[in-house]
Amino acid sequence: MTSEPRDQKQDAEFEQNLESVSAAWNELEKAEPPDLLDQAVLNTAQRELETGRKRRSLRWAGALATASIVVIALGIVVQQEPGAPAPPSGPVNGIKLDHDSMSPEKKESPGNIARENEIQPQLKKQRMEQTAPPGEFRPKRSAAPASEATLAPAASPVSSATLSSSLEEAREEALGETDSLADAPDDFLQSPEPAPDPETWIERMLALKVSKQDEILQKELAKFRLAYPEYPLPADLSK
Amino acid sequence: MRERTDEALMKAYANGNMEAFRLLYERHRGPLYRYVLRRVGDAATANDLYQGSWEKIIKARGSYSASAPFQAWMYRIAHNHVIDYFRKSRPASELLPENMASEGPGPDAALTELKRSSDLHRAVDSLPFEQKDALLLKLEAGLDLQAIAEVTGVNPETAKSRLRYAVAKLKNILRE
Repeated sequence: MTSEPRDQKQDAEFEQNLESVSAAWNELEKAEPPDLLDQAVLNTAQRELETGRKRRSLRWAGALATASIVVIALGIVVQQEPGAPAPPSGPVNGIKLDHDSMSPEKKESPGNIARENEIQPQLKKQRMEQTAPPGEFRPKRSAAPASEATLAPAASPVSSATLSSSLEEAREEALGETDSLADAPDDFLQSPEPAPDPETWIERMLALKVSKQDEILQKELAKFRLAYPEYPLPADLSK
Repeated sequence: MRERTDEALMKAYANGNMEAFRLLYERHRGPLYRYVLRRVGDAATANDLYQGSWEKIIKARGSYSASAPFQAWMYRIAHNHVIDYFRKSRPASELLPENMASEGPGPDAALTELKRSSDLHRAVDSLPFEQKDALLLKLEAGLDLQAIAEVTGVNPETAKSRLRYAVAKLKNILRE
């Protein structure tokens, strides 16, 4: 009750004293920071802004690099055929297919495409020779050794005439293999070797179909489905 | 044209606008310098602490929230920087409130000091540490009681009490 007027009186006195002290204080000479100090502070402020900008840009570059790496890695994974067996890592009779180390540019260059086309039938033939008993499997045409005649070094230029003749030879060899499969024994078809390349396998099955070996064909189809459940079959076989 | 607030300038600087910082610095350089100078007493130390305070303000720009009053935030940084200086340069026992009145110059320096500084400065220097702090925040920075309380980390009543004692002592000294 009595304290309120007393507080008010004290507050009024305080305000009055504060005003007079402030007035006296404001009349005093005002010290200012030296110019050099001002400059130092402003320089620090400027420098910090620039450092911040650099940090931000570096952060962007880092994020961009990481994103690029992820995109490239995903691209490589997506491009790999699902369910396809891994390419041979070691050389097969002197022929080495280095899929992993091949850059997209190298793969798509005309010389390399031709080289791949030449090598694939050769490989097929070699696999057949390895799996078939001696004397049972006879290609109709024997080609010159692949390492000598058809396989040019990747970097060396390949003339169009050489390319077309090599391709023709390779195609004929592949056809010859398909024909010879009709005479292949059951042992060869039921051999416990790992699942062959799906395309090769399909070729074999087509040959079985042509030679009307339906029972073996059904077995092969079942095995194929087990090995490559999602691999599309040609219309002839899927019927 | 409406003048931009301290808060807007600080946010602009935090977003990379150097001109905003120049304006802000121009507004507060004098009061902040005098606050630090009157707190520590000598110009060399004041220069170091003043520069250090600004460096801390600059580095903390990213964490500044425009909803907080800029002046209170800035003086809190400077206040803490000065307190750190006293803690490092003096034993902890001397920082207790009863021991924190300014010691004043020695007998030889007293005459020089008397000639150099006004009675009012000497009166302020003679105040206890916390009262002097509250008074300088009022006289130099022009902070209100709420802001003084925020800067010094006490409640507004305590800040008012300190300020009241300081003003009363100054008034008595000035009367003499």
